[in-house]
Amino acid sequence: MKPLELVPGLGLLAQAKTKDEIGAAIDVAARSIGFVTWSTMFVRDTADGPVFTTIQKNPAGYDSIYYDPVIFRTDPVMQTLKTSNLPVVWDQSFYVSRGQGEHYEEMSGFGMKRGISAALHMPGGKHCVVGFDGPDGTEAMSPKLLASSLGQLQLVLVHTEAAFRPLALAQFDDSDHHEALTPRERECLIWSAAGKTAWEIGQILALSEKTVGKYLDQVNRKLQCVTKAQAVAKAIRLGIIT
Amino acid sequence: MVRVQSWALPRPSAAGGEVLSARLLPDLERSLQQSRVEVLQGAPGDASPRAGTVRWSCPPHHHAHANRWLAWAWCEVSPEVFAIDDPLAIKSSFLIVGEAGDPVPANEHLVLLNRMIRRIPWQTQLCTVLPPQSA
Repeated sequence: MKPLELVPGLGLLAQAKTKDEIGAAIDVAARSIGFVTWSTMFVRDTADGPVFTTIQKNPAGYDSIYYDPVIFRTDPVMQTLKTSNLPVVWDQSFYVSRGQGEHYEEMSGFGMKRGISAALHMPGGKHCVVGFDGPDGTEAMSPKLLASSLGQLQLVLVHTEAAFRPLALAQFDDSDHHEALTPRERECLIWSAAGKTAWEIGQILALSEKTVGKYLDQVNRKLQCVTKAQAVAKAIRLGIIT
Repeated sequence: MVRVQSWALPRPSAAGGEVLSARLLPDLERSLQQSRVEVLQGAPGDASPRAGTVRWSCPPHHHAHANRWLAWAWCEVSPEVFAIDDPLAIKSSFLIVGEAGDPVPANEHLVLLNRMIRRIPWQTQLCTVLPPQSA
């Protein structure tokens, strides 16, 4: 088995550049463990409140419930995920024990009776959630199979966050959407972030100072930055460099 | 008098095993063994699910990956069903570098560590050392 296909769909996720591609990959992953519907959201906390970007494959007709802000605020799965990175395994008892039996009845009418969900909470008020749902799924799972499914979900979540983040952030700030850096450009940026001058970077990488300058100019252009410090800060924020 | 001093930022050293090329990750995975399990003890009568930490490491005499380790926190979501407590908080004794020797970005580092954990049978191993949770 190819390493990236440890979980079906991971290979697609690793290469996904659009919301459709992310969705197609998550669909493969969800189906591989017996779930038929799914959703993912990227949330960014702002001064005006959280802003959501979603990709979902909800049952037909469920969107009005899914996007209802009142239901969202009281949904016990979302409320649990808000403060934890631990996956949630939910079913009827999960909702009833939290006083949301009515909401569960509404969901089950659309075939969403059981599911697993997990969230990542990153620095800077960014969050990513992935949930798999279905008419059955977890009920028939042995502990070993459920543990494996949760492991797959968490791995899908980590990959989804990596693929989703640049798309979601681009909606908030156009300047976050940028052309990819070449390996050489990234290398020059890393040494620049370490405080090296263009001459010193040239010595380290066996390039001329002029060539390094061109690479750094390209970095500034691609990241839409004016200064080296700005480019370094933005690259760190976008996860291009550590 | 102007004094000029220049130095190169030392690249991470391979000595001591703190740097690991990404292409060697599959080899490391095959060499890891569960080496430590900790269980957080709740107060008597505490019905909270079990949780703790686990470390997987290579033996000190391993020819290529001596003493390299991964560690993470786990939680028992339901009886004998264990999950990583926080996929963002996985600790490792090594830094993953790309072909050019530069550290991979932080988010890629996390993805690679999570993939490694997915491939090792840590949940099954945990079940073998933990007593069954009483009903």
